[in-house]
Amino acid sequence: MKTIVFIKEVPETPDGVKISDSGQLAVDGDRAFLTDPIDPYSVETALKIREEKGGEVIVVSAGSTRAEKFLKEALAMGADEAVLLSGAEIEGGDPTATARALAAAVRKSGDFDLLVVGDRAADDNSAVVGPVLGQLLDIPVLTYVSEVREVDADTIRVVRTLEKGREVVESSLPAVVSVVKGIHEPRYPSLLGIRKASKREVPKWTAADLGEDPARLGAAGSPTRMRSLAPPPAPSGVEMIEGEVEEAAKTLVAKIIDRKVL
Amino acid sequence: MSRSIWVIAERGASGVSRTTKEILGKAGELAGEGGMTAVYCGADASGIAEELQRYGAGRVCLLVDGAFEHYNADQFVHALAALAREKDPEIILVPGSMNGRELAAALAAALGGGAVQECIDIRRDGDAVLADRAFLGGNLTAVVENRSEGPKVFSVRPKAFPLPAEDAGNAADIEEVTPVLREGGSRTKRVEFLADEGKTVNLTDADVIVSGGRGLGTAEGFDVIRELADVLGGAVGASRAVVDNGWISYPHQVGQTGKTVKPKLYIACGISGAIQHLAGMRTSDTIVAINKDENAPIFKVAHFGIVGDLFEVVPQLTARFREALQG
Ligand SMILES: Cc1cc2nc3c(=O)[nH]c(=O)nc-3n(C[C@H](O)[C@H](O)[C@H](O)COP(=O)(O)OP(=O)(O)OC[C@H]3O[C@@H](n4cnc5c(N)ncnc54)[C@H](O)[C@@H]3O)c2cc1C
Ligand SMILES: Nc1ncnc2c1ncn2[C@@H]1O[C@H](COP(=O)(O)O)[C@@H](O)[C@H]1O
Repeated sequence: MKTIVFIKEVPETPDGVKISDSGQLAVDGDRAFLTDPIDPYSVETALKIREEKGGEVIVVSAGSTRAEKFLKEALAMGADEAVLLSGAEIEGGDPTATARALAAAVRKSGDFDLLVVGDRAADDNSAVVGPVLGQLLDIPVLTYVSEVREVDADTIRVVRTLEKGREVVESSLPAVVSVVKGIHEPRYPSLLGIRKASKREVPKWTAADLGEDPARLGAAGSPTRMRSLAPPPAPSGVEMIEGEVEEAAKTLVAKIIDRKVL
Repeated sequence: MSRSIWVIAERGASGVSRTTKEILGKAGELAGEGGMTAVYCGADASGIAEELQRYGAGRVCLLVDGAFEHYNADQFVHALAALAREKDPEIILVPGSMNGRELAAALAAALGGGAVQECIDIRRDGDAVLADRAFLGGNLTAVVENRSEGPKVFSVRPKAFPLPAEDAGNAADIEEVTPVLREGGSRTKRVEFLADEGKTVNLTDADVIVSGGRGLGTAEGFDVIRELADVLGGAVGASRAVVDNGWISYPHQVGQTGKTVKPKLYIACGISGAIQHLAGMRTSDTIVAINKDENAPIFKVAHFGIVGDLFEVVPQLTARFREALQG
């Protein structure tokens, strides 16, 4: 079983997040970054499958060289290999352009059984990359997966948690799975794992290595473009209801009834 | 001839889903001469076309086949992409439910472009089509242009647009189209559906949400929250702190890493109002905060606030609402 997991660096806070000249999400360089909070869950999902079925886990990220640190965190958790897709032609794309680079990396790395992504990234929140990988690689996609029930050589059975309930779905492999938080509690990397990972060299692939048309990658290849990015409008101000509890409750209920929201 | 605007119709609990209707209203505003077409994939389309027509569709396109009994990206995307290649709509609007978001992203990719997800507004600027959407879990709002060369796909967040009035007099051209299905069938198969405990977890559709945070002290603290929610016919929400504590399950979580909600009334009890929580609920129509700390940040986004012990205030509110709503 060969599983490829996709992880992503995200800014720690909204401060310093801005639009690049080409209308994409960018962050002032001196800000702190984290691995996306969903990433450890994605990595854990792949490690659990490897424990049961054997095989290997490869972690891939497209982004700046900063992301190497987070790939090493995944290696420290137990992933076998890591690859960073980097360079001006790949960085700074929208989720669709990024997915094209990721798909090209998957093709380059040969046969595989499973791709694991997070349900949505913490910065762009777009939930685009998983379904796009499915289309580009012509494999089925299973989104919002909260449980992997069974994996065989060529099928996977998962639980998708949707608005009104849980759907148990079976799919052929290879497939893309997008996981939600809480699917498996991520393990902590061992000290030995951290030490070994810190010494590893993470291979870096550029657009040229991927053999993908640069016009389809990065900012140049992005079908969406931001025109502005700003905090939402400030709230109108609170009306505090004073007085004894009973009185206050009465006043508040009257005000809410007045607003005709019920 | 100018190109059409498509609305992908989704089935709800009874008939067409509410978000579909909201989007039909918006599509009517955006549509030019090319008009607005509602497209429905299902195993059974009875009553659907008539309902879509009452909500303003100029044309209704029905793709009926057993392969569409349950949503599955394989067949839905294949059939819709084939039809879109043939008819070449300018814009495709998709209800932003979880499956809808998956569909929008995959359909846009199948057509060579990219989707803009969970839009809260869509408008034109000359030849450009722009959408507003949240980034970083609602901490920032962006105006995004969809420059896809083919059809421009957008998914639309529930309650982004008002429910349009029904018009029994509107007449639509209703057409049944034989869908182009995926050869070899769907690669995914629904084995089972386990329905949730009901409306209590369906935060996205709820008009009223009563949420509890760490101020509840224990899992049993949720009893007072549930009572108030019951009286108001609302759903129960929660902060991440209490979900992490195991006091309530993850589907109840509101915020950056939980659900984004926009009820008519949101009552936050014993929730401090961390930025990640606010991200998921700050656009609610009316926000009420109950907290014993007058400096809690939740009061910054609330419309009404009471400083006090929630175990005293909430039962009082429950009693008063019960009186007011029965009277
Ligand atoms: C990456 C990331 C993502 C996150 N995502 C989310 C998310 O999606 N949703 C979310 O909610 N949080 C999220 N958080 C966590 C968030 O930062 C806060 O830790 C969390 O929201 C706090 O929950 P709380 O308000 O219940 O608890 P606290 O912050 O501990 O607040 C408890 C409040 O209850 C009040 N209180 C105590 N007793 C009483 C009483 N008897 N009566 C009245 N008031 C009382 C206190 O004054 C206090 O204000 C996220 C954090 C990170 C880092
Ligand atoms: N730059 C990237 N590098 C690697 N994986 C990514 C990248 N961007 C997105 N992904 C993956 O796609 C998921 C969903 O991202 P998004 O579609 O941007 O919301 C993330 O959780 C990652 O698994």
